[in-house]
Amino acid sequence: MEITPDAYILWQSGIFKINVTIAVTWLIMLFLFTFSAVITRRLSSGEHLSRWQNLLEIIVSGIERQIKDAGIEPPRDFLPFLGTIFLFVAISNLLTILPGYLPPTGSLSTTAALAGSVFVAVPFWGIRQQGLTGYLTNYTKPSVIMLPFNVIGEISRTIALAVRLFGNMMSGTMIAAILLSVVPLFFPVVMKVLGLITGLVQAYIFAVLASVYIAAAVKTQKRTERRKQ
Amino acid sequence: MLIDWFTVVAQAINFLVLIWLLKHFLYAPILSAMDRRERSVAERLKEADRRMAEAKAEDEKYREKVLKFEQAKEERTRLVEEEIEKLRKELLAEARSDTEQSRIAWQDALAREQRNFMDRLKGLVSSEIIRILRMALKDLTDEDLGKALVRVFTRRLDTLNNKDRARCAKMAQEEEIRVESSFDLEDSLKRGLTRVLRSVCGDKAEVKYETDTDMALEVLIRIGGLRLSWGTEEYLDALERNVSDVITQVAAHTPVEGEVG
Repeated sequence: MEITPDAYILWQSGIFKINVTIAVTWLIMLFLFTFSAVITRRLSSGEHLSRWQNLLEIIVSGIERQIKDAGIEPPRDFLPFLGTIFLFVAISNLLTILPGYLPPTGSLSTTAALAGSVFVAVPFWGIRQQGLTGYLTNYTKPSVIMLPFNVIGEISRTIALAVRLFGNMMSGTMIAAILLSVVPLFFPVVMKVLGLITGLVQAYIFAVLASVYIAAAVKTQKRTERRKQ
Repeated sequence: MLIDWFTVVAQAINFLVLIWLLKHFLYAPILSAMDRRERSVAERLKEADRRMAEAKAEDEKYREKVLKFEQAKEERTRLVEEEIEKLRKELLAEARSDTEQSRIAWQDALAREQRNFMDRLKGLVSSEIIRILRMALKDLTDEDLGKALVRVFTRRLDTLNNKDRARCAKMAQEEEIRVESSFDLEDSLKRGLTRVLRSVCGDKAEVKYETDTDMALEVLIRIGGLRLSWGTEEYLDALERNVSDVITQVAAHTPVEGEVG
């Protein structure tokens, strides 16, 4: 038994290949896109709105509020990135309810890609807000001695981000599979339910941590501006 | 190897594509719709506030109008009541005045009627009494009442005290003496009377005799402002007073038709 869906290769040509992780990701992308496109095709801005539009509004405004609570201003600039992280991870994890489904988040490649995106996004926004020098000097604060520790902290938190999600999802899938072979009835159902909760919590944790990292980069700039004023 | 770097790259690209897709097909339209709704709600709230303010202003205006109307009504009612009270008092005063005038006029008319009646009664009674007296005296004593009256009067003049004589003499110096009677005096009576008058007023006193049939049985001597009379006039006056008293008493106990209380 493989512990990562990357091992299940559906198609390969040279270095290009389509494994289960990529295929399921595409299916999730297709689902999210279709769902969004169909509902947002006829949006109402009046009093009466469809229940699906209502659901989407709740989700989007909820994510926006969470970003705002993290201290990021304006939240809408960061909504696509952070919102997509949450939605993608949450849908990937929740679909484990389907029998035989292998979540792409159970692949360290996927979580590494997401963590890598955050790893790139944090300095991207930091530099955009403060400039390259301004951002880089943050690593020398409060003292130059802290530079290597700050760099190590930056890398280690990215790795932790990736491995935390991967470990949780992979273990959930593994436990379900093992229990299925040991206690085939009832108990796996309870574990599945627990897995759903864990999956949603992990999605939330991943998105919130990404928000906090970005907020830290953006807030530094804000504090500097305030001090200048 | 747990990490497949091709998959990592592919998933990163997939993630970026998903961001782009959701940005254009989920976040942007949903946020736009929410913003539109928020604006619409805000506008409607603003409109509602504006209308509420308008309604309050209108309400205030109408309350003020109603208050003014009530005040005007009360003022008008007060004025009308005052006017009515004034009119009532005027009409009452007018009615009282009319009643008083009617009463006075009625009393005047009554008094006039009474006087006329008394005059007529007096004339009637005096002439009747005198006629009876004359007749009785003539029948019983073969004496004329006029002559007897003149004789007695002459005798009484002759016995006037000195004070009265002095007054008569003084007045007779300035004016003539006029003797009025209700019947013709015989010459002998005139002579006797003239003699007595001249003894009282002086020998040169002028004496003039006149007859007035409207008078009661009486002889009246005028010497300037002095009046000396002898006859039934005083008796008749006393009779008139008595009869008038009786009539007044009777009238006081008899209800009069049309009298205003």
